[in-house]
This record gives sequence, structure tokens and C-alpha cells, in this order.
Amino acid sequence: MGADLFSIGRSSLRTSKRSLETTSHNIANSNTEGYSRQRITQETNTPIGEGNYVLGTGVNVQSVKRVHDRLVEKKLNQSLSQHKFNEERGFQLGRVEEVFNEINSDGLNKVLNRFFNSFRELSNQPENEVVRSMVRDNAKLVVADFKRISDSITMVKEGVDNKLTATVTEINSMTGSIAKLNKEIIRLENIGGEAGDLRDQRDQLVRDLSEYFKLHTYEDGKGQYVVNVVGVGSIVAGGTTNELKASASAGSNAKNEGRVEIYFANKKNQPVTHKIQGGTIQAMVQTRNDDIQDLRKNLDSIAHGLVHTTNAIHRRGYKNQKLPTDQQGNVILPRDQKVTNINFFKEPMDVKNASNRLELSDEVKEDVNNIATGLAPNSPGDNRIAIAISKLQHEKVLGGGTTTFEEGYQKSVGKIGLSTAKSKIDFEQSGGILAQAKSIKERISGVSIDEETANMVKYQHAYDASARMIKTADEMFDSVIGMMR
Amino acid sequence: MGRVSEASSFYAINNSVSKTKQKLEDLQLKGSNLKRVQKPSDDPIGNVELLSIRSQEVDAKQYLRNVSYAKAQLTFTENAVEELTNILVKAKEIAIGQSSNLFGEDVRRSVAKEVQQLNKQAVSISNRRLGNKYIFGGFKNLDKPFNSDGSYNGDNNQTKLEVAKDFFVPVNYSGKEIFFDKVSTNLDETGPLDNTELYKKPAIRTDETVIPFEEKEPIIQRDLASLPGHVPKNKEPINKSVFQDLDTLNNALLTNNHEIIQDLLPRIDEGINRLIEVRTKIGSTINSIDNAEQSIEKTKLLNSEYRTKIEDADVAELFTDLTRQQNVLNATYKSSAQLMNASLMDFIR
Repeated sequence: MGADLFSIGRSSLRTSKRSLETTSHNIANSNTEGYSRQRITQETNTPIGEGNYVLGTGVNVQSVKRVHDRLVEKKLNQSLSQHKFNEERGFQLGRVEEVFNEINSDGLNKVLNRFFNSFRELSNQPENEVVRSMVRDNAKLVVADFKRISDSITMVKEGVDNKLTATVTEINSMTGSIAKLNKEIIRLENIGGEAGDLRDQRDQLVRDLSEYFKLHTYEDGKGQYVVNVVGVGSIVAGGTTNELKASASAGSNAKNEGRVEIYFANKKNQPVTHKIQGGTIQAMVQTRNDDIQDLRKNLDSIAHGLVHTTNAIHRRGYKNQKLPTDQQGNVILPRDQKVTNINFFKEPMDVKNASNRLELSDEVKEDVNNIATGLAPNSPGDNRIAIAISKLQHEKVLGGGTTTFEEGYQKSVGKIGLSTAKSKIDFEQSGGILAQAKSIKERISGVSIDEETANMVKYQHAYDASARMIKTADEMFDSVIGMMR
Repeated sequence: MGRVSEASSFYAINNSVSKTKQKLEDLQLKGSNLKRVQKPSDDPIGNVELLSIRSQEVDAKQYLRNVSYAKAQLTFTENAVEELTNILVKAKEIAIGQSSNLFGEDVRRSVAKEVQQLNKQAVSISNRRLGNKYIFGGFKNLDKPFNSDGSYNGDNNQTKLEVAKDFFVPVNYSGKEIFFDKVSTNLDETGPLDNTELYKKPAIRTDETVIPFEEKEPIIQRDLASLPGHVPKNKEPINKSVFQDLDTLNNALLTNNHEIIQDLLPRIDEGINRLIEVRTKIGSTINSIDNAEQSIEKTKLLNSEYRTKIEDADVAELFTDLTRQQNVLNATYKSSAQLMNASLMDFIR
């Protein structure tokens, strides 16, 4: 009997100690990212039947389990992907938006406007050389601002390219770690070990990966843990990884214009960049492939239209130069020199990259007197060319005759503004959803110090009591021994 | 599920504090420059409207410059025409006075001196310049429009300025119209780009850019008459000009021929009438410019009012919001502190 008391007491001591250890582990990891609190499952030892009695034999630790909900975890990862998508999109669009922010500074709208108004001023004083220089300076500003915008959005594009490359490296190192953990978890659990902490680590890695794209994870029939990129394919299956790569030379078609594309290391000719859903990657790719491309196209068509229309009018005019006349008063055109048919901007010009290649013509660069104001030769007071060019400001020449230059540009700015504003709202919204998901997860899996304190007291009491129990058994044993004396 | 863990309450606190702080920061930024719109996304539609209003404001400024330019030039022209009218009136007085045979040769000779003086004045008016521009030269305004013999070098074109969107006014009158006969073509009715083929409607369509005019090579041929805007240059018969009238008067005085002087009277009257007509035209042009100016000023005012509405923050509302948001933040801090500092640990020994 006494020996049984000892063993019950011992089992109780051991269990209480294990419980205290778990409590201590929980408290120690209360601030560990991704940690799920652990709980001891204890059960009664197999009872012994003795005659008519069934006697308990104490307590025993059945398992140490982490408190965890797969569905909550899944929901959290999904909302993380969505939130990161919105965050990155807001960030990238914010950079683009800054290029078009004219609220406290000058932008293309103002510069274009000044360009046309300088021609309007020139029509007041077509014979004034100072005004001609002003026209040229304003035209130079237009050229410079088209370049500024073009360069700035190229920089955003390059920023995305670099970030994509860095992201892929990061993804590969993370998938490597997941594969390693997969092997370790299977090994541990096969020998009956507890792998709660490792599972936490793996969940955390999957969560980190979810920042880049939407994932789908499951255990296949053979118990292999598979990480699938939604829309693309698996990147981890059990202990093996499927490496991703990023480079500008990917893809069989050269149509990617030096853009960095993502592909599986073993399938170089099949970029998957555009198939990726959610996360920072989709956000970056969308900004780069859609928004920036759109902007560039629109900007190019404005620049091209400006060159084309201005030149067509300007060529009809005569430069500011007195020409000799014959006896009838007819103008004699010099053979060695161009006095009409002069371009204002450089031609010829494709629509593609027009904003970046925009330049003044050599003639205008050389001499402001090559700026034509008059439709007739030898007419310094003729301002009709200047008027006609200034009227281009309100002429609907873009988009098949539906928009003016300024409207075309404003459309772009409006679109970027709207997209950015929308991404901001989306970001706030998904932030709320993410916080909610996180909070649900932490409510289930997070460590509560108060709870652990209560547990600590509880287990300590049990420990104290079991120790007392053993002491009592000892005293009982002593009394029996004492009887012998 | 009533469970609260350290992390969940941490997220809750973090979330509410950062949300409040973000709003406060936003308000403070607006408070720092009192602008409601800081970047396009703050009000995408408003921002686009702002851009277009600003364009209109710059346009309006330019149109106002054009207005003052046109007005200066027209007033200057009007003064010259007025002086010329006075000369003709004086000539008429002389002619009336000398149209009988009351006066003798001596008197006529001295009166003739006066007429010669008037003629000189007329020539100097005809070559009058505003800045470096001859006002009576048509498009050829950098060359002297009148030779000393009164023949005309200029052309018959009018420079037109846009004083409001699509509203053009002529700012000069050719020497021919002023000093010779009435110009038959009614130039000031047409827009400067009419008949120039610079703009052609309907526009020619390409895929993307619409060219609102016919693209054609400039006419490089010797035949000037076919050049757009060219007015063929016939040497003006001098005898119809103001100068010739004065000259005739002078000669008649010198030769003591009162019959010629009598014949001259209706011609001088004709000249005076023509000038009065020109002055009326100038006056009404200036009037219409004034109207345009007023309407530009009005639009300018409306635009700036509208712009303020879009762009500027409502100060009272802003600072009320700011104070309220500060209170919210303080409350959040206070409640968070209480939640964070309470622990069962404090009650266990």
C-alpha cells in the first residue's frame, strides 16, 4: 500500500512539474512571433482492480499539444496576402502619383499650358526676339518635363524589377527552410516526439511567404506537406523545393521590354509572373505592367501628337528673316537656306517612347529666328502661325479627336489619383480584416500571462500537495517501522 | 470566445493607437499648410479640376495681357487717326477760306506754307511707331510704310489678337485704309485663321492623333498671289491719298487757283468721313475688348473661388477635428495604459 502511495505521489509530482515546465515555456514564448501556446493533456493511470475495488494509480502526461486552429491560420494567411497586396500597391502607386503631383509644384500640365500661352504672347509681338526666346525656353521646359516624367516612371519600373529579383531570392531561402522543417517534423513525429514548436515555425514561414503571394497548403496522401502558389503550382512538396528564378531575359517572346519575369528554374520559357495572385508580387507586377504601361502609352501619344501637330503648322510658316524680292515684289527664296518648311520639334518620330525622345529641332535650337510666326514671307507683323499653334491648346487632337493635350494628361493624372485613392481605402479595409484575423488567432493560440499565472499557482499547489503526500507516506512508513522497535 | 491573450490585446491596442495617430497626422499635415488636397489621391476628381482651373487661370492671365496689348495699340492708333483728322479739318478750313477769289497771291502763298506743314505732319503720322513697330504698315510693320512722296510700301493685312478664347480683334489698320481710299474687303470681320487652311474641319483622322488641319507643304512658288493672305501689290495711284490732297491744295494755293480748291473740298470731306468711320470702328473694338476683359475678370474670380473650395481646408472644421482627434488619442492612451499595466502577478505573492 505504502509503495503505491509513493508512486502515485511521484506521478503527481512529475505531472505537476511537467505542467509547470509547459507554463514556463508558454511564458517564455509569450512574445515569440507565431508561437502557439501549449497545453498538457493529463490522464489517470490505468487503475488496478483489487477484489471488489478499482484503485487509481495516479496521473500521467498524455501529450503536450499546441492550441491551434488550421482554418483560422488559413484565414489569417489569406488576409495577409490581400493586405500586403494593398499595401504594396499603395506604395508603388504612391511613387507614381508623386510624379504627377502638381499641387505644390510645376508639372506637365502647367508647363504645357505655358508653352501654348507663350505662343499666344508671341502672337502679340511676332517681331519681338525676346518673346521668341521665351517661346523656346518654354518649349525646352516641355521637353524636360516629358523626360522627367518618363525617367521617373522608368525608375519606378526598375524599382519593381529589383524588388522582384530580391523577393525571389528570399522566397527560395524560405521554401528551403520549409522543406527542411518538413523532413524534421516527419522524423520527430515518426518516433513519437512532439513537433509543436517546429510546426509553429513552419506555419510562421508559410505566413511570411503569404506576404508575397496567395498560397494553398495541404498534406497529401503520403503525409507530405505541400505549399502551392495559387495559379502557379507547388513550390514545396515534402522535403523538396521547386525553385523560382527571376530575370529580365526570361520568356520566349522579346515583348517583355527588359522587364524582370519570374519563372520556375526548370521552365525558363514559361514566365509565371502574371499568374501570381495577391501579395506584394501581384501588386508590383500590376503597377508595372498595367498602370505604368498605360501612363507611358498616354504620355507618348501626347508627346507624339504635340510634335506632329505643332510641326505641321509650323512648317507652313516663314522664319523671321527679310527676303529679297524681284521687281514685281515677289519673294525670291534663297537656295542655300531654309526659310520655310521648318520643323519646331525633331521629326520623324514614332509614338513609342515619344515622351523620352522629344527634342527641339536643330533649326529652332540654333536660332530663335527659325521659329515661324507668319504665314506669309516678309511679314514681321503676321502672327497667324503663332495663333494657330496657340490654338492647339484647345483643339481636340488626341484619342481620335476626343481630347485636348491638357485633357489627355489630366485623364492620366485622374486615373492614377483614383487608383491610388482606391488602394488606400482597400489598404485600410484589409488592414482591419487582417487585424481581426490576427486577433482571432491570438485569442486561440496566444499566451495569456494571467492564465499562465493562474495555472502556475494551480500546478504549484498540486506539486506542494503531492510533495506533502509523499511526506505523509513517509511518516506512515516511519510509524510502521517505529512499531517494530 | 472570451479568451484574451497578451498578443491579442497588444494588437488591439496597437491597432487603435495607430489608427487614431494616423488620422491626427493627416489632420496636422493639412493644418500645417491649410490645404485640403496634398496629393492627387486625396481628391482625384478635385485634383483634375484643379489642374484645369489652373490652366484656365494662366490662360486668363495671358488673355488679359493680350487685352492690354490690343488696347494700347488701338488707343495709339486712334490718337494718330485723331491727329490726322484734325489736320484734315484744318485743311478743310483753309480750303473753305481760300475757295473764293477774295485773297491775293501773297496771302495764299503764306497759307500754302501752313498746308505744307500739315502735309509734313501727315507724313510723320503715317510713319508713326509703337515700340519698333510701324502701326500703319500692315504685316510689313518693320519697314517704313510711307515714302516721303506718300507712296505706300506696306500691305493691307490686319494683325489680330485673341483677347478671349476664340475672340479675335484687329489691332492695326493699314496705311491704305487710313491715308488712301476705303478698303473694299471687310478684313476685321474675319478670324485670323479663316482662309488660311491651317485648320480644316472636319479634321483628318489617323489612328491616334487627329490632325485638325490639312498637312501640306508650304507653297514655294514665285506666284505670290496664290499665297494665303497675300494681297497683290499694285502701286497705289498717288492722287487719291491724303498726301496728294494736301499737295493739290498746296499747289492750288501757290498757283492761286481757287477752282481747284473748290473741287478739292468734297474730297477732303470724304477723307474726314473715312477717318471718322475708322475711329468709330476702333472705338467699338475697344468697347468689345473692354467687355471681354470684364467677362475674363469675372470668370477669374469665379475660378479662384472654386479653386479655394477644392483646394483649401475648412479652417474651423479642421481645427475642431484636430482637437477632437487629440482627445480621442489621449483617451486611447489612457485606456491602453490601464489594460497593459493590469496583471494577475501584482496580486500574487
